[in-house]
Amino acid sequence: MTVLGAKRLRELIYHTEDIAERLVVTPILDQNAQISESSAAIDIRLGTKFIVPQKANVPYIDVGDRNYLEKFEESVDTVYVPYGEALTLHPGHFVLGNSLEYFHFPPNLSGYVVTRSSWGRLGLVVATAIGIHPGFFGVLSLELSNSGEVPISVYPGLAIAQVFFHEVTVAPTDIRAPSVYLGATEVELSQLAPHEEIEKLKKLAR
Amino acid sequence: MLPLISVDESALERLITTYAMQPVEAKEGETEVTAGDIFQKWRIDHAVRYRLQMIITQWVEELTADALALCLIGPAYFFSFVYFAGPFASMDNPSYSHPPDRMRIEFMCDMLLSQGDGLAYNKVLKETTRDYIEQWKAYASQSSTTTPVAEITPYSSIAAQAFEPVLRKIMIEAKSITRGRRYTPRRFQRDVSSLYENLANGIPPNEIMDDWATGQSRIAEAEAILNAGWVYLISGDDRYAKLLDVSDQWTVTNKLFDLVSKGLEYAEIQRRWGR
Repeated sequence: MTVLGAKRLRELIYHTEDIAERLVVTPILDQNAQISESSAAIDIRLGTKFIVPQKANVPYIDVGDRNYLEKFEESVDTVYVPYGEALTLHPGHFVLGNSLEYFHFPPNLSGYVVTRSSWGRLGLVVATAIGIHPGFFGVLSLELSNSGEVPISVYPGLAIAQVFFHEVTVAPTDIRAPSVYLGATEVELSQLAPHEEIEKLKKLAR
Repeated sequence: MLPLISVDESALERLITTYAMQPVEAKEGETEVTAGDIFQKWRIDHAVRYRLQMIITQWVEELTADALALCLIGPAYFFSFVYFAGPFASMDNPSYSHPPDRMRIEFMCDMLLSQGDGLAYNKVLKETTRDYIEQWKAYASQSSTTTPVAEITPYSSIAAQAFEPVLRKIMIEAKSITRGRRYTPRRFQRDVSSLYENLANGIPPNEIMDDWATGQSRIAEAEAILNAGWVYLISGDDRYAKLLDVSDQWTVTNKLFDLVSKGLEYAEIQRRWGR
């Protein structure tokens, strides 16, 4: 597995005219800091919108319930935090956020989102579902969770995670990204709908 | 700056006479007013002229605002007007404050496409975009197929006729006022096709790469982003829909609006960060 270094990442972003081969990461507000020459990743910043589940309104999440998504949607708040202000995560608190940056992956690249270690050392876990498929485009959903013992304030616009890029050894035309979250411009709720599969699983038990 | 607007006096006289001949109910304790009474006619004459003056003044303001918006934003203003003003309940039904949409649309099409006094966008628009504007112009220049129902109807034909010689002057003055700040066909041509390709490929239209060899890019102007969005929407290009794997036009349009909004947001963030 080849991890792309800063030089190759810059070539793909700034010097690849063919849109089919270009890696798009925009906006990169500070190129030297976000694609540091000594690193093999791109630092990404936190966006301004968050989905915050209201603990008191959700007895539990049962993905086997066909209406669980509607019920869950009713029990979350969408919060906008302007630049310069903070969102405080209490211990055990989980919220969905998104990257400030918008990505467009060419068909021969995939990526992984990883928490920046400086935040991880404070107890913050930024991404728990970390894979990005070839051909994906949109902002990245970030699952923020405070696994530490004390509350942590996070600020929209700060670099909070990093994305590592890998080349995929499959012919580009064979690849198509899963479409559920394609083109997202802000944080979106889970679209998990495994009802049919659960029905099949029930049949296995008979 | 605009010339005096003259109305058709004979048409105005007929309107005044029509109103004056209508019986007027006397209030309790008053003597009944006779239709055709000279004093009554004088009062109606005054009221009709005053009202017509108010209507024309407000219509001038409205048409001037349209002209200024076209100068500052370009065709995007026209595209958003015909998209959001639909389904044109006011196409042939003007109000006291707004001229009929038919007049506004024809005026805007003229201003966008004509040379000289107009903005001369016909040179830089792609064929599909130019056809779209020309179709609207042809539709707007047809006479009304429905009977106007607005209360203002008796005034509107007199007001509309009075505007004919003034419209070109409004174009010229709008261009003159916005000199130096105008969104020009040259800027449109320079930026919009590049941003259009971004949208077709599902990429926010906030940056324009000027030189791939050096990686030199520039932040897109808000006007260019808006124009690229509308030009893509009316082009019938389905590349973005295919990328999304969505056939429902409503969903695709909303996604496109989100992408254009994202482009505006990013461009503004980049501008402020740069300061």
